[in-house]
Amino acid sequence: MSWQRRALLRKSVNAAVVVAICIVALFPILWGLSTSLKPANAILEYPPQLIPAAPTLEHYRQLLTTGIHKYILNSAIVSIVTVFLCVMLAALAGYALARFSFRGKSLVLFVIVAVMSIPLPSLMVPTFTFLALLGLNNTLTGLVLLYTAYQLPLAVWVLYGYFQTIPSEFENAAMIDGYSRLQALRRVVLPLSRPGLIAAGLFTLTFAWNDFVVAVVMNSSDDARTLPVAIYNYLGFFGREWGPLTAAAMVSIVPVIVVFVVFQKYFLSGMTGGGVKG
Amino acid sequence: MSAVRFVGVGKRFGDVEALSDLHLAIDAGEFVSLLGPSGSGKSTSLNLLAGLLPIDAGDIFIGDRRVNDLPPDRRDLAMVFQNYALYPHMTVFENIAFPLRARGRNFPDADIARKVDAVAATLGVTDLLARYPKELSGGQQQRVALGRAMVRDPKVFLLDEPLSNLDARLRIRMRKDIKALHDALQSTIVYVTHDQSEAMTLSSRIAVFDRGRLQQYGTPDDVYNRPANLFVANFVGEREINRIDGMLESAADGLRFRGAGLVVALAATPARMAEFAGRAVTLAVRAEGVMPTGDETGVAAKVTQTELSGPDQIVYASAGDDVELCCRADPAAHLRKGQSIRLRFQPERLHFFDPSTSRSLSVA
Repeated sequence: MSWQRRALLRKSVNAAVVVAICIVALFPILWGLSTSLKPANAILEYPPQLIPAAPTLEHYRQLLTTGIHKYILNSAIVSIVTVFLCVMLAALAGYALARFSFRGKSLVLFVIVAVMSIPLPSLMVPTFTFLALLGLNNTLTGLVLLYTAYQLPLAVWVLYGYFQTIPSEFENAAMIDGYSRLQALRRVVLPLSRPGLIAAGLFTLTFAWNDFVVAVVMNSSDDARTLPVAIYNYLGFFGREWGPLTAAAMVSIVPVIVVFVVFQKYFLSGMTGGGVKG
Repeated sequence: MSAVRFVGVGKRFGDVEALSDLHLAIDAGEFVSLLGPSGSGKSTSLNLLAGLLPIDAGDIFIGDRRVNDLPPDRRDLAMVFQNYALYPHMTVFENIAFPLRARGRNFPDADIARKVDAVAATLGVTDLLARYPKELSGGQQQRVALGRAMVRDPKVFLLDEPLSNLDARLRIRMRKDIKALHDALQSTIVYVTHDQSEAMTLSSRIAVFDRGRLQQYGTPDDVYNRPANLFVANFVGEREINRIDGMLESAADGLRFRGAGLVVALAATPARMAEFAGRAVTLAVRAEGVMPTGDETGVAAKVTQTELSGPDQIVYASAGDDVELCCRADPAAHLRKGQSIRLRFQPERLHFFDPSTSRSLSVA
């Protein structure tokens, strides 16, 4: 077989494998989406329709009457504030670690990685007690602080790695041009670090939006409830009503997918450390 | 424009002493090159002056101000980096305007535009103002980097091997441009390079560094014709210098050098050399100081290799106890490999060094 034919064959096999993986990964989500748009009596029909013949929003409307918009808002507030706080702190820490050498630096780096291996559930009881002491349980603020703390190590690590790929000549040039180091960070380094910042932000967003364990332990009141906990409650509330259940799942998944799709070109280069040549 | 003074400046990195006890005085408006091989301390000196590295010992003065504790943004310097460090996310205009927008410099936008346009016109980059650095060629980036340095009228310009990333022809062209710029601005320029021809053509004075120490500080003529030690003699000049170890001995008609199987007569002995009679010395002479001659009293040698170098023929010849000498010949002589020739050493081009200290004996 000539090499062109072989190359074509390899490409077709690759494409087939990719399609297969996509189907396996996406099918549950697409099925959930389609179920959430089917009228109740069509859901359990056999043979099942992949694309609903008579799509309806009745299940979404039902969610609204149980107050899902409140929980979406809570999750959104917590996630967005966490992302900003976490990325800002991580940028400062990552920059310091990337640029300066100081006593104890390797210890700091080691600890940052080491604490990432502590399983969250083991921290729940002491954290709850601590939070209650501060009066921050059943508040969104408490969740923001906790999520920031849990995601800082990863965000610092991503940004530390990314800042190392940016030549320090840029800050040197900016400082000689008359800017302080902090200003040089803001005006020169951060604009060049967009991929890294977005990668760190997306990691943090995913965690904050989807977290169930921490939220269910710390917040029991209805006012401070976040979306994952609300969906869990629907399991009991709706029993086996697949319509509202899948609709709730879609409400939870779709925003994150949209954000990823919008930022995907930054996310990928941020993960591989990007490369900006001066 | 300001003068710059290094007084006893030192810097170490861990166990390595990158710079020891540097004393250097640069006058206002002077173009001084810091010349040396890698690791000689020249870039370290520049970075200490810029404030990018903290000093370990000594003081640095810009004008009358002691700047040891001043951060780079307060020293009123401008620097051009080896790889230009142009901000990739800004246009050329914004790059050049950037220093003018720093805190404490409240230039109105109209003024900024005027200054940037003036600088761009001087450097010939007006057409490039809307482009981004990655769309420019090496030479264009270099001129933009120069523009960014010039726009502020700083007290001192620092240039860190700015031409080393350019191809040979462009380098020679930019050398002319930089020299013209210096003449026009009359600015104090501190220029780091490892290329001795750059230092020779551009500077009013050259500071030669080796292994963290200043070896010699003088005009290009001083450094080329009166090197203070063997390192300077070898490093400055197009090619390595010819070196022969031997002895000075008295003869009927003055002093003679004898070493490695050959004898070189010194003309009219300078008074100060007389005291070195009977002493071991290292003779050093540049290629242009050794020439083939028709004179039968010249040193016998056999040609081992020839190179055509523009207007000259460079001839490598083996003389005495297999000592290889590099000399310059007229290409019209058409010397061939294996040919036997006689070499004449020009007495006024001979340098003598103490073999143990490498210090020059012929310079007072």
